Amino acid sequence: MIVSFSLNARQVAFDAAPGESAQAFLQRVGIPSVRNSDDGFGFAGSDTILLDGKVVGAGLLLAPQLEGREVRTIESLRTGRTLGIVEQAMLETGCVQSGYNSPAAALMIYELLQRDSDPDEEAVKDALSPLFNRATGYRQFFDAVALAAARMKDPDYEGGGNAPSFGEKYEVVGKPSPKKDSARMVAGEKVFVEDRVEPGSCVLKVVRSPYAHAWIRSVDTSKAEALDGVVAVFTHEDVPQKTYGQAGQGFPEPSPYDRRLLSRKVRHVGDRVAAVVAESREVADRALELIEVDYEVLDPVIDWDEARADGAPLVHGGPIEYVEGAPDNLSELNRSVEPREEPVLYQFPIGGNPRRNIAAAVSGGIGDVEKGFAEADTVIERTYTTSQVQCTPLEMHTCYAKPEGDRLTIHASTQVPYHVRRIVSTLLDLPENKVRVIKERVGGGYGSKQDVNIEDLVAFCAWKTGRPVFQQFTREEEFVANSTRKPMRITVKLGAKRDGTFTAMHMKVESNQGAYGAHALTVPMNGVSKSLPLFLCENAGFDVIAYYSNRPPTGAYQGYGAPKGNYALQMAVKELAEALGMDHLELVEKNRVSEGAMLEILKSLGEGREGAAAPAESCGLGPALEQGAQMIEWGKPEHSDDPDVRIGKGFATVQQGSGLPGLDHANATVKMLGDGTFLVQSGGADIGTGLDLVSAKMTAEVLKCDMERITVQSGDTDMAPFDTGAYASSGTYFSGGAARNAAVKMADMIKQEAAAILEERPEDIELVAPGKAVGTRGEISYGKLAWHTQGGEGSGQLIASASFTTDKFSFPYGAHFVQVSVNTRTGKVTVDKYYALEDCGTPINPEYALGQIYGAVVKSIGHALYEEMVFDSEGHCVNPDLRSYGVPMIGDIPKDFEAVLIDTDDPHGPFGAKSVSEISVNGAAPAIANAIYDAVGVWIRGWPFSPEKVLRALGKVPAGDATARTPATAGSSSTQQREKKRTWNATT
Amino acid sequence: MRLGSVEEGLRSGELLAAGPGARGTAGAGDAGARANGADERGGPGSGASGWGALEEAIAAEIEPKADFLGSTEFKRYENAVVIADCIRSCIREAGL
Repeated sequence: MIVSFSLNARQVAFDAAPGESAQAFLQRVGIPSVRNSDDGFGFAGSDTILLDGKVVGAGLLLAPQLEGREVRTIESLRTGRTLGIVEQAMLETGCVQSGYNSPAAALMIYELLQRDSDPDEEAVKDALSPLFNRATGYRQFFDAVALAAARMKDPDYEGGGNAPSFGEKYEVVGKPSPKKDSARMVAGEKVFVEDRVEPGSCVLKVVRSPYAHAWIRSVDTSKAEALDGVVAVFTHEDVPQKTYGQAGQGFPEPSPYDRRLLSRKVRHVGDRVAAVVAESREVADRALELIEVDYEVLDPVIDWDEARADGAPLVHGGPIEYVEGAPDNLSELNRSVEPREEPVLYQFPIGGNPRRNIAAAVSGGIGDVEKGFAEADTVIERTYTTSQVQCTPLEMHTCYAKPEGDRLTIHASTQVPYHVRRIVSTLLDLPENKVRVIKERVGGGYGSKQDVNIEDLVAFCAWKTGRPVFQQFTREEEFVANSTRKPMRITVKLGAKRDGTFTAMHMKVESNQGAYGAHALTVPMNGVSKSLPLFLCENAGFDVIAYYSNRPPTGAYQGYGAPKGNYALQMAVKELAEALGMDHLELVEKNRVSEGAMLEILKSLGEGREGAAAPAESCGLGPALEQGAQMIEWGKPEHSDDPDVRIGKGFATVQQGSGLPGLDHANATVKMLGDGTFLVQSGGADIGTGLDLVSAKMTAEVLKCDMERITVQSGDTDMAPFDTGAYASSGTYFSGGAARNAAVKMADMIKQEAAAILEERPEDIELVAPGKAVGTRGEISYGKLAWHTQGGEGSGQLIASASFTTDKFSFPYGAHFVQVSVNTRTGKVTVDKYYALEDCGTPINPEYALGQIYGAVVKSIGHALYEEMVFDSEGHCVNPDLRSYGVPMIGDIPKDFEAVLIDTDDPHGPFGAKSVSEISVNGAAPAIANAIYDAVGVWIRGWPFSPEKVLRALGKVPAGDATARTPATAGSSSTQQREKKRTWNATT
Repeated sequence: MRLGSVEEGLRSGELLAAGPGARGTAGAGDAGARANGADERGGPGSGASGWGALEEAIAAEIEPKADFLGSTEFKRYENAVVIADCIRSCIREAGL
């Protein structure tokens, strides 16, 4: 039907399809900014429009409900190329990182300021309450509203963001400066994968398993294939018989290859069964319903203890293979192989034994741990658990692939474009020069887009059919068909002398890997390697073991293993302090890492390769602890006026790495253009964090020119040189380092050329702002120099390429302090104060560094207090939506919330920089748990710290089922399985 | 849903005579803290955190179902205190 309405002050009429939501309708008619984050669930707010002046979720409306109404979208707030006041304010205050629903936030703020020109904090929270934001943690929105409100009253108001500056000796590095992509994102421009889909492209939908563990006896696709508009249906019989892995890690990966594109065995609820390529979403949905699958259901294993039990069902029963280093007992292990299953292929030994459901295992340590415990006056041993949590990017996983001649182009929302190219090339038997991956702007990754969870099948379907193919996960698929944070059970044993000196430390980490082996070894090892070295102890050991199970796959998530390992270790240290009768801070100060300390434990923590001891060459932990203790008024008791409420304080120390020295590798090319400006082609994958801005600033700083004279092009495998990708906190250190090195090379080339022109020696030439080469007798601007070099008689265009590799470690450190209120009547824990103090070396982009800290802290508060994927006994996730799952919203942020950048200067990082992105998720859980103890005297040793767990610990709810949030009997009926299938098949 | 015995108890005043400070079987905060491995520091469960006759009556009337939001025991407790607090608040506001 034709729907007539006012769209951004223009009367329009468009044809709406039956059942089409207003969100899909508006996008289809040319308004990209109205986006979908939750399939019309009405929670995330990415679909916000102003309908007759009110904030409304377009996903909750059918297109005909726009009839006769006035619709405004973010596109209406911009004048020509100039951003509106609100968008500009968001830009200047660092609110826009991954940016998928920044237009929605801008509309909400705009609507607020139309009715309230001077809103208070509660009004801002109320206005933004329909918005789920995962990247920036909401804190900077308050600054944006204040700035926009001031400019609405006085358009000439010049106050800007409140971000501090760093790096006194630098002109550009360390100074606030908005990201270029943020301006495009907040304005609602076409920058994401979904914006690249051309008319006539096909849609990919997947039949997913309703069972956690089953053989597929048969798949009847005949009815679906007969449907008009269905291009192809693929099953396990149609795909390459190749085993591979989805982990986006450097090759050879320390993760087993243990899956096929489509397998005859399904290993988790939501596993792929068949793929439908159709000419429309509606046809694809109808085709899914027509596919008949006959399953032979097997017993699943859901948890650690089930997985390791004698006689447990095997998640992977196929042959075990090794590229290198096969164990002596391999033939014995392969004696009882299930011939129908694909093999598990290890690139090299990581201690796996799929015959025992063990994906990976390793033990190690330094000194004599048993002797250390024997020498201790006090020994404690405690066990902690963490839950399976989801990354929940606002932009759900999405991919668009199209054959172009003899090549395949893949538009991807990925953290690892070069790994995508390699994995797809290998899978499709295409050489890498035939595959181009274009990383578009990424609407949130957080680790889940480090793995090739969607690009593999989309690429296969496009190549096989010869048609352009698009897929976008539903929110439910995000939960059940995607990588998630690995649940862990961690036992920590600590020994100390009476004075608090540690004599021995030991961590046993058991990880629930889920159905496939991505990051099986490295995540749990990282739980050790990013927590144990925070303390100095001569005797330290660990055991790590990752169990396969029939849960949805796990993989990387911001912080990797550190948030879990650090939760356990930091809480155990607090428990030790209580056992010793010592102040927690005093105990930490007595044993903590300090600048210059040699971290011997790293010798045994190579994460799949040989480790090496490394020094902590820059370490701001001391100042972070001192300043944080002052801010929180450590040691000062606090009391509530409410007799039900107890107040407590806690803290945790944190660390991370800056990429993976010896493994990571980044490259960049700097080209001088014809007018003396520069194009930086970086292999780095900016996923909203501001990595392109890092590369631009480092180039500008070296070449002494204005930022406006630098453009960064990144993430396109055809256009930029190789980079391992945006993971392991490597961006600034490695990719930024490569840009810096390329700029240094360019500077040398400029000096050589200028010296030749000016008839001087290169060593007498200096680069001077703004963009000129100055000798002892003369000078030449970059513009003239470019004209000379590219003028036909010159030396040719100046192009400088460089790599960044290193064996030097640069660890960021920090301390997180919290104050919580615990309501002893309801069990509710409220985080009232949160101070995150972090040393990231020189913060290249201070406002975005702060934004990443705020975002990560709010995420980790969510993990600690609310978030948990809950499974029934048959492996169904029973809360696969954002609301039921429990992500934190603006009303959940601490009243007093401060991120502080501790100034240090790292000797190895470019311009003294270290990483900041991941470290910030490592502090909330232990700091909050320790504060809960301080408040009410109970230890909450499992995520999330729900009211029920608090009340049980307080003895207010009778002890019962320890896994109280997991329904014991739900979800087993065939009715529920049918419900699941319907949900996945639903049109989104 | 009507909570018949609660309504009767409120009319008679019986349920309001014993305030939330009266601890019942579900209010053993200190014991809970110790069972969890904590030291002897004072746990909650005293003062206004307690479990009164009103909470007891409400808990006896409701039959919550366990799901991913919590166990039956937790929901019974939490609903009892929230409803009790709501009733007391209404009574206060009404000046009764």
